Amino acid sequence: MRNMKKHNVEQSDALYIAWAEDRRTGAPKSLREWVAAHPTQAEALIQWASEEVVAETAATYSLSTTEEARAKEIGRQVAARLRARTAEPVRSLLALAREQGQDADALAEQLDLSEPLVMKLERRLIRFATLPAQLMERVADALRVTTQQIQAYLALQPALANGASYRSETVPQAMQQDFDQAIRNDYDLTDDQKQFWLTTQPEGSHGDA
Amino acid sequence: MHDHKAHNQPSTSLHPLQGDGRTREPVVERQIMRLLACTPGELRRTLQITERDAPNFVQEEALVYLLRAKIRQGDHQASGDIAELLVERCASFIYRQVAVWKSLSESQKDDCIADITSQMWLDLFNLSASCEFWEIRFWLCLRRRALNNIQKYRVINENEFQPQPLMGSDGQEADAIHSLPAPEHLSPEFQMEMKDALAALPEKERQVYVLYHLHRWTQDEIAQSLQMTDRTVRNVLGRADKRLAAWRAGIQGDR
Repeated sequence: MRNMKKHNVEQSDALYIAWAEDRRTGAPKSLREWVAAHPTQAEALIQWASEEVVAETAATYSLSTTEEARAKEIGRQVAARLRARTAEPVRSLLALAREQGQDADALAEQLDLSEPLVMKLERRLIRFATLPAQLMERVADALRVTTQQIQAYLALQPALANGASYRSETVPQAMQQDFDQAIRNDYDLTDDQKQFWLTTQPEGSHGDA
Repeated sequence: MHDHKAHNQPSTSLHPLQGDGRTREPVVERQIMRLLACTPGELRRTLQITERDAPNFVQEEALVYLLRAKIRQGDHQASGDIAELLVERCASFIYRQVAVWKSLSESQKDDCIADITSQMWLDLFNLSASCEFWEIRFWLCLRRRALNNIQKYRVINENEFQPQPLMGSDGQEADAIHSLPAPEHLSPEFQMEMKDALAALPEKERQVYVLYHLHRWTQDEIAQSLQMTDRTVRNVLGRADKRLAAWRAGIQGDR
């Protein structure tokens, strides 16, 4: 399940680092021992071991001057693009998704949320303080911006629906709800998805932004 | 698991790592403390040092810490500058990681390099615990991200070209004959070249070949781990051997 995969990236990084460092020691443990010690990660360990045979040749690959220049040029282009992109405040999650060729439904699927919940995030109808850090990381990852940009967007005041009209002299405030309440009341999420987000929720720290 | 606690941790006022048991290398901590004490001019000069053996050279892990410290201070200009410096330092490394996978086209390689660089950039700006390994083992993190991205492109290629199974007269998959000596019987020079050839094998064939020939797993073990039948393991192994034998014949023909 995608949720679980995402959830385990950190653990998987830790295991990869431990495995890769062990390989550099004089007497590395065999792949059989690694798999026996981490049976749930057997697939990943086998994958790494089979990639390693090829990947280790990268250390001796000698770049030509042209390749060196090409490598640097691609790096410069990416840095320039991302620097410009990550310097701008996010104005709409859905607009960013559209830039990636995604609609609200596709974004919801990528985030393991429902479309109504994505729309609530878009309008900031969920209280920022109750949002799990993992959700914001996931949104940032999907939209290829930084977590700080997403945090800054979601911490803004809630927005009224597009085209909403009102008669009062003061601008009304859109109502916000807590994240766990939004999850519980959602009709489109599966039980597994609800369970995942409700158990993820208490971790919610908003990093250092 | 690697025991990060084994290092002596100097007393510092650095921003703590969030993950349990994670610590920075003492040399990195010293570099960070030195960077934090620098005047802007000193910092600029220090970051311009590119010679890795130079006494004041700053390791990438310390640069990631500094970048994140600048983010926390709201100094986006400085954090962007440091990220650019890291991208420049990593460009050749990323290129080499991608270049050895011969099955990728030139345009795929360029796209893959761009994807790896993008992911690194976004990870650097992510202050959560899930991305703090960049402050501890920078190059391994980058290598892992590189391999993940390369795999995506390999999968695309393999989905477009599925090797046909070898069929027997009974319509069942036929047992293939091992036509290549095991790697230990090849000269060291050939073993090195063979690693190049392994890059061109489809994912499953390479996995089976590596497990059987390099890690000495039995066909039973491979079948269990990769959820295949024994016969499929033999056939995949046979196909890999045939491809490598064909490649070897080509190499010898060129000599």
